Order: sequence, then C-alpha cells, then structure tokens
Amino acid sequence: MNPSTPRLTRVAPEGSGPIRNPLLNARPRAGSGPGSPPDASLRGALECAVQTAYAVIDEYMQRGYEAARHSQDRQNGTGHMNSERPNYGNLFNPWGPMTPLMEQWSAAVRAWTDAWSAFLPGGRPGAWPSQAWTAAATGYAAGTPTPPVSVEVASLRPTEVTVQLKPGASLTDLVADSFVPPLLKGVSVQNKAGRIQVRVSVANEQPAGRYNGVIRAAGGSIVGDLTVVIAEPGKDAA
Amino acid sequence: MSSTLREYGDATRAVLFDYLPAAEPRRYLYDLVADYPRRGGRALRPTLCIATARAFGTPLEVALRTAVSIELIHNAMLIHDDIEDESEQRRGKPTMHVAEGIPIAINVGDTLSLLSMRPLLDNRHTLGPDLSLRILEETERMARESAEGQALELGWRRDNVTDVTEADYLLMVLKKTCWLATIHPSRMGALIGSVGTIDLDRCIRFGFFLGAAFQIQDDLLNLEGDATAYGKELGGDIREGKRTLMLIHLISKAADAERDRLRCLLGRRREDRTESDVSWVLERMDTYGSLDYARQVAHGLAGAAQYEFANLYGHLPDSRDKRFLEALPVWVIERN
Repeated sequence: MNPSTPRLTRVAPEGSGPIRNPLLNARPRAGSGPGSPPDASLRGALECAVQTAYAVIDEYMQRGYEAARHSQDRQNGTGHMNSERPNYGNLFNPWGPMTPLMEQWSAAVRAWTDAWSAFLPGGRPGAWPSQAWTAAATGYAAGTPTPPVSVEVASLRPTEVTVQLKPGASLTDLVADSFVPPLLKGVSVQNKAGRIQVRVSVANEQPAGRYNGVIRAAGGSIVGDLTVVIAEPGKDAA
Repeated sequence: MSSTLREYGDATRAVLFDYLPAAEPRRYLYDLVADYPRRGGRALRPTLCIATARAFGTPLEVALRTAVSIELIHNAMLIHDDIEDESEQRRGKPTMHVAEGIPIAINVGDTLSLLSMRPLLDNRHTLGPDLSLRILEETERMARESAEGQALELGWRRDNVTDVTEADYLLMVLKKTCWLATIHPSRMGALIGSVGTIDLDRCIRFGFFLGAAFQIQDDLLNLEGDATAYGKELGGDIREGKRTLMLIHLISKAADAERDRLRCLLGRRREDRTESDVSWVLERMDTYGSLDYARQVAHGLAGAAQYEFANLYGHLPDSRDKRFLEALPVWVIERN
C-alpha cells in the first residue's frame, strides 16, 4: 500500500439516541409471506383502521347521547333540548353536566353552615371530612344556575349541612325525608319566592353521626339530597 | 412502568384480601374466591384508576377502594370468561372450572362480583355519598357494557358468524374489553381526582384506543408469545374460534376454498378442532400478513390513544403518575 495515498473515509454519522417510541419505528416482521404488502399500503391500512375506530367510537357516543336525551324527555314530559349537549337533569346520571354546579352549591352551603356553626354555643367551623386535597382545574364551564339556597342551623353541637339540588327541577312543595339513619325531627325545606330555605334544628338528644336524606318536590319526585353531619360535643363535624 | 404497576398493585392487593371473608364454607367457596386474586397479574386496571386519580393530586388511599372493587370484578369476570371460552389455563395454572368444576366456578365468580360492591359502599366514608353513588352508577354501567360485549363475541361463535367486519370487532372490543380494562378505571380515577367535576365522556376515547390496542396485542401474544410469560395456552384463541382482528383479516383475504375451509373449521366444536387445524390457520395468517396487519392496527390505535391523552390530561401538572399514563399506549403494544 502506498502510504502517501490517503485512505478513503466516510463522515461518521451523527450520534443519535435510540428511537424508543415504537409508534415511529414500526416495521413489519421479516419474511411475512409471499405478496406481503409494502410499507406504504400497510400505513394506509393503519390509517384506515384508525379512522374506522374513530367512526365506531363517535357513533357509539352519539347513540349514548340520543338514548340519554330520550330518557330526559320521558322524565320531563317534554321534547325540548336545552342545548346541543342536552342538560341531563337526572341527579344520578353520570353523563350529565350538572355535577360542576352541584359541587359549587355544595361548597357554598358548606361555607354558610360553617359560618352559622361558629356563632352557636360550642360551635366551631366544620371541615369537609376527607377532602384534604385540591382538585385540579378541569377547565369545564358550569351548567345552568339553580335558585339561591340559604341554610339555618340551630344546634348545640357543630353541625354540617350539605344540600344538593337538581338543576332545572321543579322546586315546589319541598320536603326533606327518608333520612338514613332516621333523623328525629327538625328539617324543613321551603321554596320562598324563588329562594330555597333550609332549616335544620338538631335536637339535643339526636345522636352524633351522618344523616343522609332526600329532598322531594310535589308528587314525590326526588329533586336533591340533604346530608346532616352532627359532631360529638367538643369535636368538629367531620 | 413496572415500579408503578408493582406499587399500586401491591397496595390494591393489600386491601383486597381484607374484603374476602375467612368464613365457611371455605372449601367450596371462600378459599376459592381468593384463588384468582392470589395468582397475581399485572394489576393494570387498579393501577390505571389510582394513577389517574393521583395525576389530579389525589392521595392514593382515596382511590384505593374503587381500585380494589375494579380488581375484584375483573377476577370475577375472568372466572366466567374462562368457562365461556373453555380455557384450560389461567396465569400458568388450571382454570377454576377445570380444577373445581363448572357449577362451583360459576358460584365463585358470582360471589367475587358481589364482594366487589362492599369497597364501593365503603367509599362513602372517604368520598361522601354523592360521589360514591356516582361510582356505583358507573360500575353498573361498566358491568352492563362488558356483558353486552361478551354476548356479541359468544353469539358470533355460537352461530358461526364469519362476516364480522373490523367495525363490528372494534365495537365488541369497546364493550367487552375496554370498558373494564381501561375506560372505567380511567373514568373512576378522573371522577375521584376531579371530585366529580370532569366530563367523563372525554375519558372514553382515550380508554377505547388504549384498550383496543391492549386487546389486539393480547390476541397477538396468544399466537406468538412466550407460553410461560403469557400464562395461557398458545393458539387457544384459534381453538376457541375467537373472532380476532387477525382472523377477520384472514377471512377477508383468503381464497374461496380457504374461506370455506375456515368456515367449516369455525363451525365445529372446540374439542373437534385439532392441532393441525390451528397450525393451518396460523400458517394462512402468516401468508396473508394478518399478524403484521393486526400489529400495525394496534400501533395506530396506540398512537390515537396518545393523541387523546394529550387532549384529556395535557393540562395536568407533570408528575410520575401523569408520565405513567402517557407511557401506557406504548407499553400495551410492547408488553410480552
């Protein structure tokens, strides 16, 4: 070899990390059989399959919306849709957008109740039992507003009252009942000129604990729920 | 990925066994109820629930009971699935009905289903009544969707339906697999983490694409995976006549004579399908690229899951749990 002849060299390829995402690096297996489709047609098949999947899920969800809307129409006796995404008024319908509103009212009522409790003998502001974490913002707008709610609590012990009302429900001839465990007495719910007034009077002999009840309107339909948490003397309502 | 699955799986199992009674009758019921949960598993479903909740900043223990319920329901359905599919192995051991007989296995599965309700009822002490009730509602819905999906698959097999389209298959997978495996755990984690404020509809797409990719990969592993790692008999899906994406693709591509032979083979009872039949189907799948096709579809669906993840959870702050969720689409198609 002539030492004066420069050796041919190739520029070394730039170093790059391994491609970890197989979604970018997918290749068919070698030897996949005679007439194996080339990469281009496989990619076409992939895109077609994803489009099919989107069509399946979109149609599925549309059928769900339709079914829920029909269910809502049957409950209300109307065929009117409030919006493009129907306002599913069923309190327990997980498809509905009412939950953000319920949470807002629930939080507001807790704040009112805490303020009342502080002024009662032996009362101290209560705390929601176990929600020590802050929910991340979801960026979803609230739904249709419900009437304002006021809560009056008469109790010698810290008492927390939570009221949740179904948006859009007819709120006439309200009554709170069906408490579990049974509440001795002293809960009333009234609609006074568009303002919902809740009065809770806790008897001294009422055992401490959590009492879950429902709020009914005319005809007995459930339009909300009401929870009363009575603390032991000297403790928070938690 | 592994460490998160292990941590949340261990946390789930630690609480799960508290919900399995140590009472009589043990030999015929309560010892058996603990059998499938003791065999382990990846704990993907409870982990998905917990990780989603934690990605919102929720403490683990707040989502734990719901995760336990999901895992109990999953094990209950496995027992029944194994009967319906006439499977012989589950996680490397004989299936419940092979070991104990079908009648006892059905009863054990029923009991596991019922036991899965208790953790959801206990949620009221942690989550409050309204959120707990919503979770119960959601669980009912998930169970119904799963039953509908299973009904489709069983009906296709019983009636030897061979003109199943890809869209039919995806709808069946959506109901049978995705609702329990990915949609419901994801929705429950989001429901708990957002304290009921999130629109759960938005979780469905992510769960669907993730679950569908998961199912297709599972079906591929059944044909070409490692028998020990997989835990079930290889080729079992062909022997069962299960309508997988590979089989649907093969039926669509096969020559007329081959299609006729396939229909005849699928119309026979499971015990009448031979090793030779299974080998022939596998060889035809290889010839027509059915396995590669399914692999590509799984990749595409995993990509769609990544896209939906970004839409759904992109706004959440960075965390180990958010990264876990983000990595799931790749994990489901890479796992063995």
